[in-house]
Amino acid sequence: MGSSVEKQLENIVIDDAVLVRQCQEGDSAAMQRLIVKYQDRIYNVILKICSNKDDAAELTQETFVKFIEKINTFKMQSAFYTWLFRIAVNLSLNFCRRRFKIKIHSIDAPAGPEGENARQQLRSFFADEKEPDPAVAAQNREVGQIIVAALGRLDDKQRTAVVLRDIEGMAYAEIAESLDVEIGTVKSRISRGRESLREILKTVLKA
Amino acid sequence: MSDESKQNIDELLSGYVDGELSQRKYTELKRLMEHEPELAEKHNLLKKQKQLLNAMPVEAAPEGLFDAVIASQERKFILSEYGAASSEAEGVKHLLFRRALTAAVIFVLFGGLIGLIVHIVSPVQQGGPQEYVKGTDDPVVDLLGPPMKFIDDPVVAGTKTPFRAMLDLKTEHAIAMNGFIKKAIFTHDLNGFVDPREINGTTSTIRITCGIDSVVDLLADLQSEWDKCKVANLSVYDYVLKRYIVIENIKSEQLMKVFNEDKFYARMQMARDYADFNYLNRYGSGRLVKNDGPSEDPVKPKLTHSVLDKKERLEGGEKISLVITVTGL
Repeated sequence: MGSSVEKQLENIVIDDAVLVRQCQEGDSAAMQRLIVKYQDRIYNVILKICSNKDDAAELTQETFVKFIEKINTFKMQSAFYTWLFRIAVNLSLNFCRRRFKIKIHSIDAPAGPEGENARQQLRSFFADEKEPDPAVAAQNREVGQIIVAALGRLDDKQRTAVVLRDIEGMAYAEIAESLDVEIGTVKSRISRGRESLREILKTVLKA
Repeated sequence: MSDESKQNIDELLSGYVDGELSQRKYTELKRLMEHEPELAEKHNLLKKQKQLLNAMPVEAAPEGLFDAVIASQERKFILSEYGAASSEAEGVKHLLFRRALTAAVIFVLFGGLIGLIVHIVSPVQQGGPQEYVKGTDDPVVDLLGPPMKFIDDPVVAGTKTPFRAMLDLKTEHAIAMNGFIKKAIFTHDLNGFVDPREINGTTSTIRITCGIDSVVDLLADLQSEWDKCKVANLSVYDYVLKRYIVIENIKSEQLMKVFNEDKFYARMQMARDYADFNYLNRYGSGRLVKNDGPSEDPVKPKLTHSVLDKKERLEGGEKISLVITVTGL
């Protein structure tokens, strides 16, 4: 789809519920609007969970195929947004389980001088007692690779919870709905995931 | 600090970072961090970690995602349609096959059960060989129902023939067999003792009433043609039972053994024994073995007969009434 169409669609703000209803009536334009609206967010969440661009692209496509197949079963009892993320997360976690069995390698932390520079930048970021701009550090491609690699070492469920909270910015209740678990479980997973990530990053930055 | 309390503090810190704590917990934790620099440091790291993750650039989804989704969906739809159709057809076939199989099994079991019941309750089946009943007033016979086969009484009026037998032959070479019998009758000068031949469709019937030696000669000739018969049953009239005892699938050797017996009662007993033996060999459960039956040694006509003069052989001795039926298959 051309970028001009995307821009046109972006300019038209229509409530998700309306679009969903249109989708359920077989309106392909409404489907296109919803896909365009959420494709980047879904793709990014999946990418952070599965740590591989090709896999993320495929899983994103699969998520939206499922969305089209299942849209008639969506009863509007939850936000469309959490329902869609539930599909994406389930597909990603299933994929992670399969990948664990066949041992596909995920993105590794960068090595060499560039990697060392990124590590140094991260050390400075965490050590700075002032309020450093996280965007500056995060824009560095190698820093991003280190973080994604560290996320990849987390337990699947903890990683998913951290990604949905810290990257996607979902509220606890939304995460609980997307993962179909209790809020207490979400809190626990986020807390443990963050702690594990902190430990992993500490180890990586010491190296 | 125990693992549980550490975990609780981690969860509180995480909630603090996310702004998900209640006001009371938020205030308590804030006061705690003011007095514990390690906790404050940890909070600082968690906050920065979260900011870092949150600030990660958003990557654009692959180009043409929507088109790819639609294409994939269409492909899936076509495949599922085909799959559903083929699996439905397979399912119908499978269901029909299973139903037919079940019906066949039920039919066989039911048939077997009926057969077993009939076998158990029917004295005719239970008691030994199949018996033909001819014109009897015996109430037992009436109870058993109609006879399985009706054959006219071969007794020639006014002729005293204590031993009455019917030889029923079924063959694919009926013409040749009839020709052979006719020739044998001519050879043994039995034409005057044979009633006119009756032909009914593919069945040809010859009635002979003569001395036993001539019958033995005739039957001895028949031995050479025995292999051409698919079925050979000999029925012998039992005056005690008032029924015909049937020796099913009688062998030529057995036939000769019966007719070579000199005494009427010995002949009858031999006929009964072969009837039982052949019946049990065919339908029995192996209670009788071949050795238990009457001797099967090849039998030839007794040579003593040949020394009798012709008239005596034809008319003399015990009279026999024999009906030979040849049925073409």
